Amino acid sequence: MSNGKALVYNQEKCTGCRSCVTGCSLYHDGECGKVVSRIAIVRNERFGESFVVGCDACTDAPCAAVCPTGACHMDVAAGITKIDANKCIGCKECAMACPFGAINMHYKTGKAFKCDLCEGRAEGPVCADWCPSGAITYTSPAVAFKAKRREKLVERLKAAKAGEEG
Amino acid sequence: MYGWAGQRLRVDLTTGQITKEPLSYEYRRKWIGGRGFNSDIIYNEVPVTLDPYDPRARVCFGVGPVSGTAAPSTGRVTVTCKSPLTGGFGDSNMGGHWGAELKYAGYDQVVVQGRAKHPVYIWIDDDKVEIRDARHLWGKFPREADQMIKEELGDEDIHIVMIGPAGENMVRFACTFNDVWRAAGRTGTGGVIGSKNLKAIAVRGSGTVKIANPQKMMEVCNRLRQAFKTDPMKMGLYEFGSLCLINVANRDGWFPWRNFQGGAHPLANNMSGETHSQTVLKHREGCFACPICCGRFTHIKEGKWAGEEFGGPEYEHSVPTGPRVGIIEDANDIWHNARLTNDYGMDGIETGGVISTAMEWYEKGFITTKETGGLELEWGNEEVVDKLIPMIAKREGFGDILADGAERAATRLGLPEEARYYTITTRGMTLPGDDPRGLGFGYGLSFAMGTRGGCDHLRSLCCLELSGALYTGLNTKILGDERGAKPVTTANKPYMVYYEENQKATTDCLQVCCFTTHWSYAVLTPDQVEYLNAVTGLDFTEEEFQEIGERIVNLERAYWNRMMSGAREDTVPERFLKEPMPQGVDYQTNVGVVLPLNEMLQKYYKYRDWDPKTGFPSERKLKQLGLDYVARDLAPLRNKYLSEAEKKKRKYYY
Amino acid sequence: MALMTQAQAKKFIAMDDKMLDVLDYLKEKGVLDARMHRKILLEGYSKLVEYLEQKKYIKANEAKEAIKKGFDYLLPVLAE
Repeated sequence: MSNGKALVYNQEKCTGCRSCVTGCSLYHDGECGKVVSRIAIVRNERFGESFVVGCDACTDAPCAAVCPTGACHMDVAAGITKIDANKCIGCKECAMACPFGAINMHYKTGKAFKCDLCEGRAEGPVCADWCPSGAITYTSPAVAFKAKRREKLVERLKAAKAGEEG
Repeated sequence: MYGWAGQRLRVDLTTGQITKEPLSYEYRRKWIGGRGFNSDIIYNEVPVTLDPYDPRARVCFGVGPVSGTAAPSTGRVTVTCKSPLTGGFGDSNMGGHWGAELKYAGYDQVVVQGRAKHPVYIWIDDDKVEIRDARHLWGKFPREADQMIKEELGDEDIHIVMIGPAGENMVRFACTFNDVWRAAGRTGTGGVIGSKNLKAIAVRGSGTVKIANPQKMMEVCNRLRQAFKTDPMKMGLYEFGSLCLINVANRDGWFPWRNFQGGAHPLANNMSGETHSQTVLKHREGCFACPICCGRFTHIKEGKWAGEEFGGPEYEHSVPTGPRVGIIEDANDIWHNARLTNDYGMDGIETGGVISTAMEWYEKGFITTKETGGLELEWGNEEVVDKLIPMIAKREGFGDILADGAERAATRLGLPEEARYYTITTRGMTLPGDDPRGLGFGYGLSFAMGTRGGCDHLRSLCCLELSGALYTGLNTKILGDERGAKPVTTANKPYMVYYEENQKATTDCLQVCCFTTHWSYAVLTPDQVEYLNAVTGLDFTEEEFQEIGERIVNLERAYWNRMMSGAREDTVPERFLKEPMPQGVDYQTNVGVVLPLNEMLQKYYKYRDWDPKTGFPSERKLKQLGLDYVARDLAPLRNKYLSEAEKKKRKYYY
Repeated sequence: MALMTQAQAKKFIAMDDKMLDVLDYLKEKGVLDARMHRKILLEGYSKLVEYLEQKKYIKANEAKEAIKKGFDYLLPVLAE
């Protein structure tokens, strides 16, 4: 990865608000709606659960591997696969190959579309920028995982202390 | 079309007829959407003499031109009907994601009328609309029925409006939900829906909202969302939910203790947002496109209610069946009671209100266990509250009496006139957990004047007197100085309530969550005009924006006037006018305060240009607002209102 | 040209709620017409300041101060 950054998802923090979905659709397509969003939220309202489905910037991307025309290809500089709409034939193989369901077919063109990390946006990807809870961050994964380990350690120490006092 | 979907969906459950009515540019420009569309329908189509449960009554679900877009918090829906509780104009507002989905399906509003022969639900799948059998869903809690519908239709991602058993039993303060837990609590919309044999409205939308100026929209939305990142109210609401207000309420003496006998309690912190977040908070939730995310999901871990979980609660949802009925020692009892009103589908505010009224009647000896069927209605008796909430929802025994609201309960029980002092209602409706002797005199004025029954904090949500002080110079910018930026003063309050009511009404049309424009003031009127124009491509001005709100307030007011309700009913429960606030904790700031309503009220009528003798909008004002037809409706009624015969008539209006 | 006396300004300042009274007064004096009275009432104090500056009843620096300090500053200025 070029600048070493990718979208990192902290699912526990996701509130299911869909600010990311609506921002993504507006930024890329100039209209608002989940059908033109490159990021999705899955919710289970009954139990208060929600999680983010976005591009995980796989280093060994299945979407690019299965593409018959080279439309879906790794952009090494950006550190993420991109889909060239001109070459895309709409076969849907990339959408089916993605383990997370992060690729969809566009209702206007019938072609595949996916996250491109908001290429060209000075403040970085809209979803990470707008997420109110920190469930989506645009950061170096190494930094994010390090922070997670420390957070878990703090939690464990707290629980142990409470156990001692209790 | 930009912004709007451009059509209304009308479903007649008697005939099964489904029609799609296009909405003209003129109509959309005048009423905007959401509450505006709904209020217009109710005013024109629901006669003031009609029983709210009559099949001919309407229930409307409205969204606005920015619903489903990237502006902050655009998922809200207004549900409007003639209220079974008050008999007058009623509406309520719910968050969640159903509103956005309705837009994506291609509708700005759903109007339901008639009555189905047996329980049904409506399934809106883009342009395909069906009425489906709901007999297997009748009697189910919303969370169960939600799952059953999703399984039946084979899609877990749809959004569903739902009522609970209380709505089916036409409890007069039954509520409406969407996404299981997000409630449109007040004025009894759930009962009207239940009276039509309607259980739910499921929606799936595959469309989008078209934006006239996407670049401008992106710029505005981005600017506002950056502002929310450091906004003080957002931080409190996100961390601790609306329960972040508990300790503030306690300090400033608006914490509703024992039917508002008191305004503070030493144990209030047991149920604060801080305590909640450390003990029972499972998940933070956000409504559609919201930068605040004040929603909670609660899971009770210990004690006799261990294992129970539900979406919520809010401050207003938990205090009525908590401190208002004298429960504060074990917060789990409070969360459990909130779970009950959720599952049974009743307004937490009115449920706790009517129980606390009954407890005060019991305390004062107006009723005994003879009337209550053996229930010992002592303050803080959780065993009784736990029994009584389902009894009200199922209309069993004493619950059936309470299910009609406190004022009717007093009539049914044959109580003397003095007992009515304790109903704590205006126009039949009780107030939320905000004692006006503490929350603010602006709120107090607002409680007297609210167009959905009075006793309502959301017609103005005049937080310029509270959180307004957190925003440097905001009070001065709008009202002319900072004197009104504290609760216990009358300074600037008449103008404040006038301004905030107009602002709130238009906000309810757009339709966005007022937590972005009141409580938090990160979004102000000019910002709203900016994103409204960016979405629609039109040229609304700030003046027009505020005027639309003023028009709607006057229209709703006129509906009450047509029911012979006016200046005589513009008051608050006497307790707030007569009883000086007692001391509950030593740091309480409002000991000794009573609400000085009348001086503010007279000034308010001047701002509104309403006749202080009748409380009717002047003909001049109605014509100025393009409401000539309303002026014609009210003309023959002005003198009638003042007549002696009218003065003697009963208070609920049918 | 003074729009009111200092005594009148003091009277307004002492009032609990004054926006409508000030606007009514200014309309009577011909400073605002009915349309502007309505617009300012709907939109708030800052629009009054904006209008007074536009019509040169107050100077730009006075307008700036008036937005910050409110009626207590503005009304005596109008009485000068």
